[in-house]
Amino acid sequence: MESVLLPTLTKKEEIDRIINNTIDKVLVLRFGRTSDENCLLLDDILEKSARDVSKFATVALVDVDSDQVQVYVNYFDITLFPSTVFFFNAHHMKLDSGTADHTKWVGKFHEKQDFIDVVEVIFRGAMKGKMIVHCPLPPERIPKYQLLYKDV
Amino acid sequence: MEEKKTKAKKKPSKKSEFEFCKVCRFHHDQGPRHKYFPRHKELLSAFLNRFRSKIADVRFFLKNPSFLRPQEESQNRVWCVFCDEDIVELGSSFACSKAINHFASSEHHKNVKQFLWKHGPSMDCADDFKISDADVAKWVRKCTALGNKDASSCRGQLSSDIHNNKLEFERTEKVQTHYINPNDLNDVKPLLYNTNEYQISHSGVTHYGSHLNVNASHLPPGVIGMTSNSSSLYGDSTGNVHTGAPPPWLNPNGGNIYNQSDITKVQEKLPAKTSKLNPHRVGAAWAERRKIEMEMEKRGLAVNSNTDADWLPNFGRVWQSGTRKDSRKEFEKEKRKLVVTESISMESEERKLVKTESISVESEEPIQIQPYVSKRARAMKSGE
Repeated sequence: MESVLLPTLTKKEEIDRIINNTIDKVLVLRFGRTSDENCLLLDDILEKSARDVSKFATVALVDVDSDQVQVYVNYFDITLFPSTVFFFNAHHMKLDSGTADHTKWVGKFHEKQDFIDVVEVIFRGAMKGKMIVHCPLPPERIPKYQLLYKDV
Repeated sequence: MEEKKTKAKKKPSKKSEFEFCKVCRFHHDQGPRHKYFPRHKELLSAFLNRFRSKIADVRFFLKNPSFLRPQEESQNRVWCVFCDEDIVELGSSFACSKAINHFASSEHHKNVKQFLWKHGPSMDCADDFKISDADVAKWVRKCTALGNKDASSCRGQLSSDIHNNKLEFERTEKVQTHYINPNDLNDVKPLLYNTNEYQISHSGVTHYGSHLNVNASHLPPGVIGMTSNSSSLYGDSTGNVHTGAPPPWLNPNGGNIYNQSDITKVQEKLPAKTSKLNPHRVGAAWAERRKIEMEMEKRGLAVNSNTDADWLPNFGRVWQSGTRKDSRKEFEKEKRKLVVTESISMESEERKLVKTESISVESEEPIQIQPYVSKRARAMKSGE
């Protein structure tokens, strides 16, 4: 089932456009597939909170199964779904949540407020000129995962 | 000025001038009081309700854009009571497209305000008679999607008449490009019908109303009173439609490049809110530049945007230790390698292709895979 409110991007140009047209706002890009249960849970939270954060953030979904977004899937090193990448003024925002990957949020959020907090922290950090921010959530609410890497 | 003031002072003592009330459809001399009369109020609510039902129809098409068949063009029309204008959908490819753009235009918004100020009841209901720009943008997006999707079916429908078919497609293109900037009223509207040049320049009688550019010598004596713009007719180096000059939208060198004065004009127009934001925020310089670009795009000036196929945003990768530019370089190197190996393997064997395709972080290659241990954890382990 496709999301009713949030735009779903399936082309590289669409992603380019949304990155280029989001000015002074956090851009939240969710990479995932709608057949995945966790992804649907995350989508639900994103959808419900998109309006609350609309003054300082834009949320969009990216369908990773589309051929035309494989460039971004590779470029962003997206190996686990769902993954959420944050941008501000076409600059990638990193999030230090104590996990292996600082470049994105992997997994779902436990509740709406968690997502809003994270986006707000990113927005505040970006407005102060910070490219990386610390995750405001307690560790038990951050999904755990293991990244495997190829060489030492 | 003084004369006016004295008139204004005298007004309350005597009855005001007769004026026509659009709502009650009669002349009255009650002045501004008239709008508070119960009869006027009653008629006004009926009047507005009638228009509300009309705009509801338009809103239906705003939500569900649909193609307008050429034979239905003449039937699809709306009378805008605020602007006293008949909006005919001649030459538009989507139902109610002109009406939608009209209701979103600033001219219409102004007229609605003026009407409500003059006839009551209050400004609260002004939004009922307008269509917001956001809705129009959404509608345009839907239309383009529909245009892409139905292009093939549309071709099938109209294929009986080649000439019509071509026209229809030209129109769709123009409509789409034009409707991206609904506020741009200064745009030159594309000519949708073949004008009969002979008629315009020689008969004059039937056309002088709409073509004021006609040279005065061609006009019959009865219409001398018309202002004729003869100086710009032949003296202008660029020429116009009568002199056979290319239309402005086909101008090869004029449209693409915007000059410095345009940029400064746009800069002046930008809201002062930007100055309140932190000048050291992430991507501040980029945001300012992009804002100007977007403003130019909105005005219909083409901008050489950097959104080519190879464009990638700034991104710091997981395993990358250098700057973010290094990330992009690394990615581009990877991509090149992948393409090269792929092409080689395509030529040689299929087995190799499988191997090269599986180059990713989570690959099943024989290279030793190990879990990531953060620096802190590693340090703690070694400390123990």
